[in-house]
Amino acid sequence: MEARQLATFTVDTLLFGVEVYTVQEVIRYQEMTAVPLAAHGAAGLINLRGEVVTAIDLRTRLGLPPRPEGEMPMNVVVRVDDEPVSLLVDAIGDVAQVSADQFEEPPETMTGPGRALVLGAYKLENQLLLALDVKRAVDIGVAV
Amino acid sequence: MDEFDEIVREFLVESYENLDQLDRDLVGLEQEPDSRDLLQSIFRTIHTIKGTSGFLAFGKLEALTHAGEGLLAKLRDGGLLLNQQRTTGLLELVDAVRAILAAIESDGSEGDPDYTELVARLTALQEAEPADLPADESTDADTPVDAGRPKARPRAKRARKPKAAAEADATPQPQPSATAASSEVASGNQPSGDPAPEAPADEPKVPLLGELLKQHADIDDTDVAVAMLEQQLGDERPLGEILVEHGQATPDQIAEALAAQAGARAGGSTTHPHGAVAESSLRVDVNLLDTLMRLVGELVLTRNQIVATAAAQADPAMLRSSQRLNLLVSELQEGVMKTRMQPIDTVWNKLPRVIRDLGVSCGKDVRIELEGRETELDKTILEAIKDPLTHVVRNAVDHGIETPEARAAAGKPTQGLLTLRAFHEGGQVNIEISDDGAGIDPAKVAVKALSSGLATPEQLRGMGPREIISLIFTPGFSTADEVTNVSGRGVGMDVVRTNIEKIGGTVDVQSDLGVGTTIRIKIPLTLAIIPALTVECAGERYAVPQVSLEELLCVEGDQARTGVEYLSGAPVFRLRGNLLPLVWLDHVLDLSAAPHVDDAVYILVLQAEGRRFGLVVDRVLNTEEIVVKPLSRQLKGIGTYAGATILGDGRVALILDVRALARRAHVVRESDSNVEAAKQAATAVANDGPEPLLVVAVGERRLGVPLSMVTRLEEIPAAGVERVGSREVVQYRGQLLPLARLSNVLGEHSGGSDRDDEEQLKTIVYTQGRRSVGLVVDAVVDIATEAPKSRGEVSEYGLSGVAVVQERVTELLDMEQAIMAADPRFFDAVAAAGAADVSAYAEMGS
Repeated sequence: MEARQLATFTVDTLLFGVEVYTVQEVIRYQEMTAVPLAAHGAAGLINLRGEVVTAIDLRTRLGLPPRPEGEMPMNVVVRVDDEPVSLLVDAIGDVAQVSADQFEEPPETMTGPGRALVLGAYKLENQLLLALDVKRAVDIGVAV
Repeated sequence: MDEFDEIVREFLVESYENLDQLDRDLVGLEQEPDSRDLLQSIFRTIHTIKGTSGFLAFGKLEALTHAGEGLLAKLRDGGLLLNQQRTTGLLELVDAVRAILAAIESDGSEGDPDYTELVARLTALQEAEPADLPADESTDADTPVDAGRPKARPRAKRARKPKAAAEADATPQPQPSATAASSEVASGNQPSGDPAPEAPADEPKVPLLGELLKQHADIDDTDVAVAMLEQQLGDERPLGEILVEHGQATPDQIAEALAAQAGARAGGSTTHPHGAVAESSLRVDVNLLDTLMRLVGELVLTRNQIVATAAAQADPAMLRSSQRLNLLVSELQEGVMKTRMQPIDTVWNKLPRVIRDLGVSCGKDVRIELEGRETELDKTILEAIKDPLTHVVRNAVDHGIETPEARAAAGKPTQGLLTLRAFHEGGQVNIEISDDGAGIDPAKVAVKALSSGLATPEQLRGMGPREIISLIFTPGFSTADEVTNVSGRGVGMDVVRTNIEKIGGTVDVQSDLGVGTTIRIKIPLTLAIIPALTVECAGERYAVPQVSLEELLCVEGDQARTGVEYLSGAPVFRLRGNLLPLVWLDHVLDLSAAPHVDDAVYILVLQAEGRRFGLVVDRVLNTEEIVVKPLSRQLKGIGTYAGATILGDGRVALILDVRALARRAHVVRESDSNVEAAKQAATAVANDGPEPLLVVAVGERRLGVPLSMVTRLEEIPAAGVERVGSREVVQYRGQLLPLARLSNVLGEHSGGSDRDDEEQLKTIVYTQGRRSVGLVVDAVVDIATEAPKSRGEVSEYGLSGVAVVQERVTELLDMEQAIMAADPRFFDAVAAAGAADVSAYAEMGS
């Protein structure tokens, strides 16, 4: 059985995972520059060692309530089509080893815009780990 | 195989360079048919290609260049006279060689085309014609035995060659790459043993092998001296071999030194006959330069940050170091930028050939003069101006310069003159393209602009001749009376302007009727680092490229309250008697206006696409050099930003795209002409582009209206609306214009009531024949030229579909139903053919 490694993080109450190899780095909250007129979900631009990177707020993308006042998101910088994009998440988790037999289609319990961004769920012992469709998540031109 | 590929690649690079030179030489030759220098140079190039192609077993290329070489040899030796057929034959030879080289580059083969006909023709052209004979005598008399003739040269050269250098030739296997680079060595290896190897006029100094060994391989001075002594005493072996035998050098070291020597010689032999390419130059991969450029960009940013931090601290030592750093980085930046610079000649050298071919095809005699061909520009910019420049030059020959007869009648020399000048001025590069042709007639331009709806009579009355001539840059404008295969399709100068402005340049035109026309292009030296003004708006900072900035205004006190006036709803500012349309940056960016701290109004007077407008910002910060960073894919679609940059404090700031702002500014400010202009642009791209949409807002909804269904945009005073039965009408241009409010048509009641008390109704007017209807919307948002994505169907009344336009969900208005809502009998009244058009569109949309 082929094992996969997913880097995990939480957004609101949900636990998400993305393939480890897509993650370039994880950094703490960076000051952001807002981009007026940008599509919903583009939180702003950050300076990643001289490179301008777009930050996408996963809470907005998933249709979740905004982050409580005073809580700072973390940046998970992923590479999509060889371009770095930062995903704003609430907290970083461990790297999880999962195998295909734990996988299931998106659970029925999951509704709302988030469902389109999830490839499926891995049944961990005490929680569901949702596999994020990174490409879709960063494609803010497409409504979900 | 890799080594072979390397040789072929070098052969291609060198041959392309030589071919560019060749084009220029051939055209020059036509002007100056008995120039030995030019003939010699052409002969040499063809000979080099022939030699190397023989060596690399490219048979077709060899046969072709052999035939060309034969013809050239006869021309050079004065046996034949150069006439137009021969020039054409030679130019065709160059084209064929280019085609073969391109084929070799793409798949390693010589390609399919058969050149036997051309070879035969080139051979036939070598036959003397009666006309050649007298010329033959005279040229021979001019130059009895030319000392510069190549046949005499090789021997003399070889004799002069130092022993060590001669040995390099004798070495059975010189370094392969050096062989390819050095045409001389390549032709030496050629089996046919052609009698005329070329010899550069000024032979470069080739270092001695012994010297090289001492320098590079650390071989002792005395060892070399001993070996050389042995040579003199009769040892016929090469110096390297002796040294290896003595154990004083390894074979590798010798090979390396030989390669260096061959390289030095090759560097010399590729020297352009006219040019001054020094032996000290070397080829560098462009990617490497790009990387360096990027790194320097980073360094500039870091420097800015450090300088800012140091200035904030009161540490004199730190301040001094930071100032030093500042200077050094500036110098480094300049130096690295220079590495990407290329003379404008790399673009210009194609032009003499273009002019010649064009002149022949339109029966005009045109001479081209190039001034300042050494003026340097960034490589990216050179690539960007190549097409616009060619277009302008083609235009000048096609439309500007008259036929020889017309010129003679006007008392001008029959040969037209096209002058290209390039020079640096004020940190920018200026390029001027002048012709001494007929000039542009402002009256003709005005008539044309009027007839194609690009300007109204009132607008024209307010314009000077120069402004009228500038209308040639408007989309959809073309003065050519007939469409030729060269130009005159209506897409021309506007594309030139768009392309020049895309790289941050400007273009304008000056013309004197009967005397000639000059097109002036100003472009920045580089794109990567630009001077910009940083401004603040709603708490965020933005950068505005200096190149579009004309002046800065600060309006204070009473003037701030009274200075801004409204002209049919559009805010304007009186600037020295002229009305300047204003745009508030926070409105354009849809930002919630923060309360103004001071009551001064800051206006940046900007210019783009030939239009001036004022951009109102909260605060003006300072000017600095910024490094332009591209925006990520997610944000490119917005269109308001030209990129992003990192400011001194490490924060990211967006760079405003002034052209996009100008477009927004003028779309909101209703004017017949810009709708027309957009339509003209639309027809220009109609064959390959999607139909543009006018995007309007109704309540919270975005609606797309096909631009072809928009005749005008008007603001109609709400007070003028009257009721006829259940319908609203307004008096408009001496007619009754039936109105339909789209909010009612689409059942959008929310917010409809508070819109009612607006003073001006924004109205889309659609006219067919003599009938018009008006559709009232809440706001005009934009004109979208991109293709709507993910089109879907809806069954709601008044809509023909829904699509994603400019990344936003946009409903597509069913124009037929909307028009019927305003005037149910609209389509009965207009011609049946017109009605068919509309319903055809409605079908298309659904």
